[in-house]
Amino acid sequence: MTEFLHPSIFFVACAAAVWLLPGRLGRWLPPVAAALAIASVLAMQPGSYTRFSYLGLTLGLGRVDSLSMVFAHVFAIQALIGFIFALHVEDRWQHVAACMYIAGAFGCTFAEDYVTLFIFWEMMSVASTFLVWLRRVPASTRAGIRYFLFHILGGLLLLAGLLLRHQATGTFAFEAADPAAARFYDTLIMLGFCVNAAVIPLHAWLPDAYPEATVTGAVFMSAFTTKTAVYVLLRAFTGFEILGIMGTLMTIYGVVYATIENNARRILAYHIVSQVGYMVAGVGVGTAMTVNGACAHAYAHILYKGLLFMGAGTLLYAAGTAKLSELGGLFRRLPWAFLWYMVAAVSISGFPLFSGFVSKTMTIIGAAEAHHTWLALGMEVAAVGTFLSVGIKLPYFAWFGRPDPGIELKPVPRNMYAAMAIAGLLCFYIGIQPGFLYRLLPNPVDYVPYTPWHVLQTLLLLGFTGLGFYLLRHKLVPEAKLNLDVDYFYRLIGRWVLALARRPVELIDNWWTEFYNRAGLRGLMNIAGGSVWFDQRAIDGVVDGTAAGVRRVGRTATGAQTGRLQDYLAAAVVLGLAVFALVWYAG
Amino acid sequence: MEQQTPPAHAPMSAPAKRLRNLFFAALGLLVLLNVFIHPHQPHFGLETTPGFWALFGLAGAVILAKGAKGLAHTVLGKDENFYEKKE
Repeated sequence: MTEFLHPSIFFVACAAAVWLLPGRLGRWLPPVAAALAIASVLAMQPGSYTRFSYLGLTLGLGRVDSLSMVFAHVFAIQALIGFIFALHVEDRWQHVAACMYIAGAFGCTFAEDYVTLFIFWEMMSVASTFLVWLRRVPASTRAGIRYFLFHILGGLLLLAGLLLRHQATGTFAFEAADPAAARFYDTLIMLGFCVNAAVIPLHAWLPDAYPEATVTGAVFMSAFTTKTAVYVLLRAFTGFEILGIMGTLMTIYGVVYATIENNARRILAYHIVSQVGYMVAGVGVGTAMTVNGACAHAYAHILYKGLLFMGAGTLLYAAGTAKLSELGGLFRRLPWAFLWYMVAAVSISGFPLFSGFVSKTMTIIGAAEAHHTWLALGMEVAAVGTFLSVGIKLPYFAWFGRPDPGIELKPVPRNMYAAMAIAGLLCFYIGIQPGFLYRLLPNPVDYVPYTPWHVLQTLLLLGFTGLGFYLLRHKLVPEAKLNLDVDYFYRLIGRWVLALARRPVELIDNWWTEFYNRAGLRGLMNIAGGSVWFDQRAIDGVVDGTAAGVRRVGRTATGAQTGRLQDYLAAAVVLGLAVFALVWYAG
Repeated sequence: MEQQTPPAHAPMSAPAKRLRNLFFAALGLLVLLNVFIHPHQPHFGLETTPGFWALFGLAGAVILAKGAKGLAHTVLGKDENFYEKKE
């Protein structure tokens, strides 16, 4: 037992301590928890730990092997960077939510069976919803609800799949599925994973919710949700060809939207879809080289995407907006944010000397060597689009582009710059010392990134992308517009249901009101009054004002006067657990 | 705010022009190098043609930018308050 200390323990303990400690003391704890997590990951030896029996079921919380190690390694580092970036945040609930969220991510990474995985999976979606809600503006409340509902859907797909799988095979073991003999339950589980990996067309929650999250919350979310999903896909679905195709489509889909988006954080969110596409494609092609590529790219991506969100978050924090149409010319006043942002931008674009170069080319060349030439070419198109939108367009229109519009800037806390510096130096270090990253990968690496041809090919590709931008720079001016995406459909379904449901619900409601008035249930009213008091004092006190927003959303969504969407969500969770218990005892 | 067209064809300053010419020269040099440096394991025939990846980058950027902007100006682009107004 001494070889393995589960990193989630530190974060759960930290969440409890931050909650209980008075005043501002608590916010110094999360970086300590993250440092302890790094130490525990470095000390780990491969093996299976923390197994115990529960209800006749063997649960395993500690599967340590080369695949879980590489993800745990970068999760721990990014947790430290993220908490340093968030050190100035005085809202303790944001720290609690982030701690629980990261604890969930570590739980998923080391889970040895589907039951354990499912529990931590749901813990992540609940905690990350709070990272959206805690921005405490109406737009984030609404986006958080949509985010949560969509992840409930993903969780239910996973739950249905793992229960059917247990029925058929008698095991909850979280092992690789056979691409040649995939069953229906495998498809359900894969769909559940694909929701979190933002595989199109299940991706719309991501660019919908991330730009509405708190400045620091988005930094955490960009690292853990999609990459945990990549990890579980690698664990279970390596070699499923459909993922190779969907992944490549994701890489291009993301950059098309990023090219036309106006909100800096939404551009970056679409680039998560695009970048995770490389990893999903690597999983789908499924050779030793592309699996390595997917892991390496996840590692590099977590660091530079976090840094990009820190850069854009700094703009939002200082200027109060992340819309490119309202920014511009800020180079002289926010030079450090620009510098660190650019380190991340050249990393994501795959410039030699930076981290993206040593990981992205691995996946692309791996796909080409596995004779998936079209997939490789598709990913090269996406590489062009990445540099075009994140490498040139975003920084050009945020920091240059036009004269300084004279927005009043809030001073940026030093810890934010410190976190950016750490992340930026790591991006550079991995770029010049790829061996550091390659040693962590699950398969032996015989790929050499720095050959004259690889460097020349990359410089040609990106240099002429730059020329393309130069020629079209007047066409690419960001416009203050909203671009429709798949979420249009489920927002529409909500409206249809609303229209359909309104009439019968109103009928029942009228009848109930009538009954209520005649029966005059005084006692019931007193109980209700008490629970309302508890609800408002105890719960609204925790998430200040959010409940009111939820109630408003609930009203429009149900169309009835009850306005209790949160009750339905709770009911759905309880129902899910009841179904699970039933199947368990009956089966 | 909507009609914010940038100073579309503002004349370039002298240092900016020098920078641009330097950039063009670098691109030319890269294509020249491509005549001598070839892929060690070409994955398809065209890849060995000097300047292939240069053309790929330029064409990719132009088609992506034009295509995406075209989509935004026809089907995808809506008013910023599109969803709020309908609710």
